[in-house]
Amino acid sequence: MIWLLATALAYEGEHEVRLAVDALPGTLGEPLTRGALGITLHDEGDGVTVDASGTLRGSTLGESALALERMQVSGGWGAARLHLGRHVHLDLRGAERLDGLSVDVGDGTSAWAGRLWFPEELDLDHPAGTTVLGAQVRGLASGVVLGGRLHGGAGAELRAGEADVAGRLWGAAELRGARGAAFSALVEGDPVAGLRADTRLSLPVARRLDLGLSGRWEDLPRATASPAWEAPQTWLAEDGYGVLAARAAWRGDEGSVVVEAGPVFTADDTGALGRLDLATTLGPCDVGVFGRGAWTGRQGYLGGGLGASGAAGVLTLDGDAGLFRVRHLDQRDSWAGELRARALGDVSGPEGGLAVGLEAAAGADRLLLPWARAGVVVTARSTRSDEGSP
Amino acid sequence: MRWSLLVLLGSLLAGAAGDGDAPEARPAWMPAGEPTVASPLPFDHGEHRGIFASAGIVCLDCHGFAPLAQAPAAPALGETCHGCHLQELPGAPRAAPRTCATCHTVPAELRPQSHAVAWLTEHALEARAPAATCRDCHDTSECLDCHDRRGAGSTSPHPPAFRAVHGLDAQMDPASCTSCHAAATCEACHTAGGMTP
Repeated sequence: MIWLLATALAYEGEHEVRLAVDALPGTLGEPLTRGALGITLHDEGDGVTVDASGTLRGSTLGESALALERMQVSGGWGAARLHLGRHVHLDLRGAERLDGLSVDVGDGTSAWAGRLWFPEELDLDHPAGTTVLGAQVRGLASGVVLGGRLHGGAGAELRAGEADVAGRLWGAAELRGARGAAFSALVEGDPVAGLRADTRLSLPVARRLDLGLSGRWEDLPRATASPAWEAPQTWLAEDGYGVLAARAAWRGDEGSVVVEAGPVFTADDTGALGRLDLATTLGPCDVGVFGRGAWTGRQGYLGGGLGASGAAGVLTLDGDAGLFRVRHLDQRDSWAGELRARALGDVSGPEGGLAVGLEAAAGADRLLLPWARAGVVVTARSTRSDEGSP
Repeated sequence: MRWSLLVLLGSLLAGAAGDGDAPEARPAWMPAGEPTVASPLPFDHGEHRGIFASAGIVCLDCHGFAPLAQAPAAPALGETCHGCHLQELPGAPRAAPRTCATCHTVPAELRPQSHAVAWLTEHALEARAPAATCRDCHDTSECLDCHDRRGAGSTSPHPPAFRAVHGLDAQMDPASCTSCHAAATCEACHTAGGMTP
């Protein structure tokens, strides 16, 4: 990291240095200070691109004083791209963090080897990562079906870990009609571990009003091939659960309104989740109102708040506030609230720029214990001056 | 013959500007009296003359048939520029700057209309679609750059006070947590952090 910083300061190519520090004076009696230093260098030759980046984080919570969050070198040759080091890797389910090597060819084929990890290791001082060897093949195709645009994909993934070998088959399709109707379906299966399915339908019933239905069945945590990389789902809903939701969305020039709600059911329990989002533009500001609620048995919460963002020249401001009424959590009724605000000044141009951001948040948790947090982030970016001319 | 035409068009483009600091200045080929328009981008025709000529980029790749005053830029303008500036074209010139701020001097203007306040909760749905366009602007690691940040400059995907009520959400829809978190995330606070269960 020191080498990367020294190189960045002397580097004539495109590079960025980012420093962030924030502090929590007290979280249930635990003072916390954390910081991050991120450096990215970029260079490219004839058909070859090379990126080197690193992020170093420090925290006073947990026993690890410092942790390297990202340190990678990436190179590209035509459709192939190689990543080496501590980097972000895409599997069939999304992004995961890998220490090791991954190779991507085009959009569909990749192979990787190394150790999976997660950022909470920094706070937990508990190496719960696992060593894996994996490969994935995915094909994507598009075409016109029934007058609409069909995007489809199918894939397979195999990974061998310290304790097991896991294989997954995955398929997804999305059909979008010319008038905005859309249907999507996704299935992921493992003959041993279970099945995950997700389907959504959205129909425009008026010029700016869409109605939708969605259904999910979740009985397949992310493939890990290691008990150390356990998903919360494994011990919170071991036998799977389903989520149904109805959704209405109105989007106009003046703003948008989205309402979504539906039941959640498991083998021995039922509940409901719901949300409401309103957004509009007032002069130079985007303003939003949100509401959230969840209920199962005697427990539940209901609440919402306001959010706003706006830009004036090089300054961007945003903030939000929320208040929730909590029922019968830990056998008591209570309130919980939070206020957050950010200001970012960004002076950027073709040759680079400097951004300085301030963030502060404060609130009270459901035990009505107050807390606060404040931080600053400085980002400096520079691009090689001779790149401006052809 | 084709190359001659390209060189000619390149020359026309060069004559059309040569003064990127004053984009509303009248191009050399435009008859006097024709209205001119201010370019929405800080584009310098003269600086691009040689590049356009060698890459085969012609006037109509950017400018439509409509009178200039009514159509300053064709919809395909982004594709034309990004071919070199985002290296989407094989053999694109190495010297083309790749930073967004090269052309988009006000980064906030790049933000799509959909990315309003409610986008924090909307974007997860959109991102999972096979035809998701996130990667047109965002690199894969950017997801985690925000989701992992957890501090100054953070873009928290959760609404305010979520920390106080997330236990019930996790209990009812744990898969929504799994897309980002491992079980050790829970342990990080509920054991090492000293939080109550």
